Amino acid sequence: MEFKTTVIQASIQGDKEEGIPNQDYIEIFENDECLIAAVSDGLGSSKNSLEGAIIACKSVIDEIQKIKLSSDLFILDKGIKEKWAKEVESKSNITSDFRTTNSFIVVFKRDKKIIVGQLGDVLVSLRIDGLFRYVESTSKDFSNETECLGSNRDEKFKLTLFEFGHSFDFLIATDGIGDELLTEKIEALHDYFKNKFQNIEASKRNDALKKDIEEFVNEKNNDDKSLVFIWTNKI
Amino acid sequence: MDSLNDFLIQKPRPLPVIIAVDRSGSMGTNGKIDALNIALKDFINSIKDEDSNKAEIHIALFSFGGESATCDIPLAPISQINTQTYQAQGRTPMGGVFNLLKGLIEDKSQIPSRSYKPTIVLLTDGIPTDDFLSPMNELINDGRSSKAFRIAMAIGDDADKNMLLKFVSSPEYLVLGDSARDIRKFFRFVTMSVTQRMKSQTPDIQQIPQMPDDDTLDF
Repeated sequence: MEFKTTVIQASIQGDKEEGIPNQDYIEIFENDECLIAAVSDGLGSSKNSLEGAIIACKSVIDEIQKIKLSSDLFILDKGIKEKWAKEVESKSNITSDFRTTNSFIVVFKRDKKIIVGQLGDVLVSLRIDGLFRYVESTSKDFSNETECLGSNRDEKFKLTLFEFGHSFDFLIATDGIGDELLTEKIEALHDYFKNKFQNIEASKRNDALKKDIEEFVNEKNNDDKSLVFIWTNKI
Repeated sequence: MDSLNDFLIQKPRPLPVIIAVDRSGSMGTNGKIDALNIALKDFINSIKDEDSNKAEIHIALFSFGGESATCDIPLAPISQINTQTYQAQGRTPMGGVFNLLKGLIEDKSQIPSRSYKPTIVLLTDGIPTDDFLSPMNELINDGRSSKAFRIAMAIGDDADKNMLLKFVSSPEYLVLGDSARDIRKFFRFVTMSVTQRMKSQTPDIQQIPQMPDDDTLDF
């Protein structure tokens, strides 16, 4: 069955010292085989974390295209981490300067399968064929603490494989947004995004989302804030 | 649902400040307990005036004296806190208070993971009279509580400075005082430390403020 998706995304810089960039990064990739949304949150305490965040998203996209769905998912975890480490080590000996979280969702269009990957405290929620799932972030003790790439602790992606029949929608949000959301309202938030943004002209959706985040979330904390929401359209 | 705001937690992230003070008999000498009562009142009142959309100070107050440690004010937003007046008496059951602090910090229903790291403030003029070593080690080395910032004041020559040096997050966080007057100075230091964190762009990085000069104190 053919399906089409709509993607909205926005990333805004938190209130930080001058000269420190937005260390979140979003990358969307789509071809005939798959749709990939990857979101990284570079750690504020690591000076090259934006670069680490970019490398993480690109590593995810490269490695996913190599994976066979029949393979064990731990191969994907290993592949992404090795690719990330190799790229970072080609730039510096200090991988901790590049620390970043990463979460991603990949939709295999022909096989009708979805892989969700999560390393760190980026929120992931998805609804497949009407059934909502909230993937709890890797447990953390306090705000701004997270597992990450570059921690030297060999932390692992939490990876889950799903199948879908006719529809899905999913949300990935960095902790600047995720930590401020009422958990019990996240499914309703999916409906809010679909209902609101399907009625906005495609070229204006991302700006409208950015405005929403600036207006309602920016005063909540100093973190960078990034969000991707993707849903299937009725054909 | 009309706006993104309908899906957001409306309260700022909590910034817990957990205070544990000595009310043993020795605190009754040289005006120390009176100075402590005044300092606590000033501390609560001064940080009540601080306001931020991004962090809300939550306070819990524990004490140790008599035969046991007690939680006198459970953790609550600063706006709901009223001050406490102590009488000095009995022994110094500091191990008991370490157990209570540990119990609070490990409890995610009281301190959710959305909170900033807690600050623990300890003030004492004596040597623990109960088994303190194991509870202290568990507090500072194990689990979630090990991540809290720990500040302490040792009042007078009888305080166990070696033990307090192990307790604090780093040596700069142990403040030595000679007199009751220094207790108020210490709580001004704590006020500055907490308010700096609250206003900081990175509240999870503890900054060490300068100790206030005596002539800035308002007796």
